[in-house]
Amino acid sequence: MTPEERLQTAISLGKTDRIPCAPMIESYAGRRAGFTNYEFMYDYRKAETAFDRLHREYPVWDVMRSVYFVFHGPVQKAVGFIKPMMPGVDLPAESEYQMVEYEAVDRGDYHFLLDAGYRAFFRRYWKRVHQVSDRQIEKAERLKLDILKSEIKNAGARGQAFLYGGFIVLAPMVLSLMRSLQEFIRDMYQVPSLLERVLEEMTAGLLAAVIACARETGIPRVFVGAARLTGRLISKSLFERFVWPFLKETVLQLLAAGITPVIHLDSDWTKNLEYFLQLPAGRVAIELDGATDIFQAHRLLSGHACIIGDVGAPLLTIGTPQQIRDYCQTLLRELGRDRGFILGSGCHIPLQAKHENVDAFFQALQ
Amino acid sequence: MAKTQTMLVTAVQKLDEEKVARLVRMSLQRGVSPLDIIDGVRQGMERVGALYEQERYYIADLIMASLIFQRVLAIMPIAARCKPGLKPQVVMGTVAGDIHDIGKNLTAGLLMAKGVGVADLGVDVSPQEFLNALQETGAKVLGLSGLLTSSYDVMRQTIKAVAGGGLRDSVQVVIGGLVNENVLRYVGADYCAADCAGGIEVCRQILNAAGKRPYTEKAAGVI
Repeated sequence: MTPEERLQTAISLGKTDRIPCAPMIESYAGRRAGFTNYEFMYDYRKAETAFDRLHREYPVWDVMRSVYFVFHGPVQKAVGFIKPMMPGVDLPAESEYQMVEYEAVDRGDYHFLLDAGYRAFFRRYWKRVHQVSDRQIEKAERLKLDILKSEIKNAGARGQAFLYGGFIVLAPMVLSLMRSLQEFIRDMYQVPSLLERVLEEMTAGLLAAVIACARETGIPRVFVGAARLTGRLISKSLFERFVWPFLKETVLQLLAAGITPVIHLDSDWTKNLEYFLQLPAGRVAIELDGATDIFQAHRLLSGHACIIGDVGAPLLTIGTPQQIRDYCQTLLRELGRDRGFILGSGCHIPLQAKHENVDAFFQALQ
Repeated sequence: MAKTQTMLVTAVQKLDEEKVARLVRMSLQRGVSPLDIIDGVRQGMERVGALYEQERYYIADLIMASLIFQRVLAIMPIAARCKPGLKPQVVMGTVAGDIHDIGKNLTAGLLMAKGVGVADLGVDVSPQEFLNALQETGAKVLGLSGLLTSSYDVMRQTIKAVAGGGLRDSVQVVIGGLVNENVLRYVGADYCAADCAGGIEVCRQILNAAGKRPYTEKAAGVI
């Protein structure tokens, strides 16, 4: 099987010749190649050099699961969902980038979005938060797409499949970042109808943009980010009003457009896993970050959705190679024996991961 | 007055922020003591906490209650905002190199709403600053937060600094953020909190317990 065939087969719950290998590797690759994180985040050519070198070491890495195009320094600084602090600019050059969450949007902005539309809302937001001009916004959006296309091309040249032809974060999560989690919670209690209308409008806008992006890149799969607003934090009634309908709508609209959603679940979704049975079988992939019980997910969703995961950041940072090998073997044994499993990291491999642990991750599939 | 106080307690329990604000203003205008008003709000907060323990309320409800408490404090005359003699029992902050503060802020806010004195040192706090705060306040609980994996080494250094300052045996260390039992062992903390509700619960247990309980997996660990 080619990596693309293997990936598509795994997502559609078919039998693969081997388990696909899809770690989410960003800054770690740069550190491994000897670059500062500033160099990695701001110099795309160095990022590609880093990816090339790591792939040469571990050709078993057959699925490029990259969101670099979204988090590239100049892109984040102009059109990021939230204000970033970047290495070499706001932080020491070796640091991980971080997000500054504050109340950057108020309820007045909700009305602006409903009146002026999604595009106008985002432009105004980016100008306010990132202090950029229309020209800089357009340049950053072009750069983002150019980098994505280059990433796809370079991954193909390495013989890898590329997972995401676009990137979307669900409207409730985007808004909770822009509004701040506390204010978003306040809105769920105090202005529920207004919030629903805003989420509907934002979902439609985000969907149109990501579908256009996937068509432009030719990769019929997109990253669908979801985090925080899970059963650990909010009640079932809030989840069913403010999260699930927008997740389901996003997935169904993407499928209708011929695009496979790769749903990236950060934080603990264990209490909400059963909802995913409402999605069409064999049509979506679900990425877990180590916080959700992946074995429970497998028990519930085996034969329904492909699972990608979930060697977590703490284990990669402070664990031992033996612990990594043991965990990967458990995943391969428990989840890999059935169809629909892709071995991956839980979210991205952290900048500080031990090299020998990353080696052990790859070696688990060799 | 008693009726208004009862309505206040109920409004807090029902998380009705606007009604709470109205009742607080009305009580102040009628000359009710700010401390009595705050006590009424705290009674409502206790009910919210009880509903959370019964699994009828969620963390979001705790957060909403904390927001209401902050709103009430903002309405109060400045002198009433700090309860006299409320000594910090918990020192808390996000460790050096990390600026993530949502979970830490929520935990600090909820603890304060429960009447627990908290010295919140903010973000990017060095080991020495944590040690200084513990020495100045005499607090018996240290909360270290971090969402980056680079925070683990800084948490470890901070706990070593606390030990170097001769306070390790008298201070219980709780970690929160991107943490689990492996991280707890690595950094040498006593407890780790999976979320802000867990952080509050472990602080409550520590502050209610007499003396220091050493970490054991069964007794403490992840809450």
